[in-house]
Amino acid sequence: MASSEAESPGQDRHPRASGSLLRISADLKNLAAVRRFIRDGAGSLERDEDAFQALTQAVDESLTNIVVHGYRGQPGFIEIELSRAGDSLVVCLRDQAPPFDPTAVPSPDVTVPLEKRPPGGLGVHLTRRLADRISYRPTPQGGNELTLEKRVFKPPRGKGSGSPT
Amino acid sequence: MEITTTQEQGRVPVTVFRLKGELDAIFAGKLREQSREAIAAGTRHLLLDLAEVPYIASAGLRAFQEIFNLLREDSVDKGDTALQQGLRDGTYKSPHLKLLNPTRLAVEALSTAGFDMFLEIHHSLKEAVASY
Repeated sequence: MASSEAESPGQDRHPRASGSLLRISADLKNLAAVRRFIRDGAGSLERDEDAFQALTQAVDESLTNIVVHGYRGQPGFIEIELSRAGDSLVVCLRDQAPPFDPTAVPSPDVTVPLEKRPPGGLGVHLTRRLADRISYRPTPQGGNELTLEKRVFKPPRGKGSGSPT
Repeated sequence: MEITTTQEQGRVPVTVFRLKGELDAIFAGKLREQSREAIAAGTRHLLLDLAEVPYIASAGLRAFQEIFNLLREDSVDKGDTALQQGLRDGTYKSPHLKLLNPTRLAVEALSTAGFDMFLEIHHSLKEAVASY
């Protein structure tokens, strides 16, 4: 059982504003550490807090799916890479679980009464609504790479949409 | 992540859980466990204060679904035909489980999942307690 902190291999204790990497064991207890990593890594640039929280939730949903449905409780690692693209924050998740494309999951019927709701599909459905862009590719090593992107930074005043620093 | 419990007295006793933190899979497990315990100890009316929950993940929504069902199964009105019809039509809102002051993202998750059709959302503790 992993501790409440992220495990150390490859972990950057002091993430930079862009291009920083965190490696965690596939354990739901590490979700809080990932939230801290994203918050620290996003730096002090002026941002839209609602949009930032929405991206954080999208990452939360995706990681939960990787742990629960990808690794199915088996030990494994997940890499979280953070970068900036213009006004957007980009979070790339890599794992070695069996190939699974969450962008291909159909949306659930959300009009069914709560008593009769089948489980599943809700996390992916929410992720689609929360992120501006989601892309998936199987990695050459046989794992998965899911990239979530959302515009969270406010453009610098008088400079239009701005550019990466 | 923490849950503070208080008891309010309206027409009926209402148990209030004040949640603090992102309602992720781990926090959802804690909420399910604490709700089961409260229901086993006699709670019939539960109000979840969500003012300090930045977002509700799908695991949190599933916890709401479980609590909703537990409180439904426990209620005397289960066999009522008008109620069964209401459930089918989506016009039924739980008289047992209600929500207080959800944040913007939490409201979005509730409406994206269609949960706002079944759960009342209140913006004042006093009104929420009086509504049971």
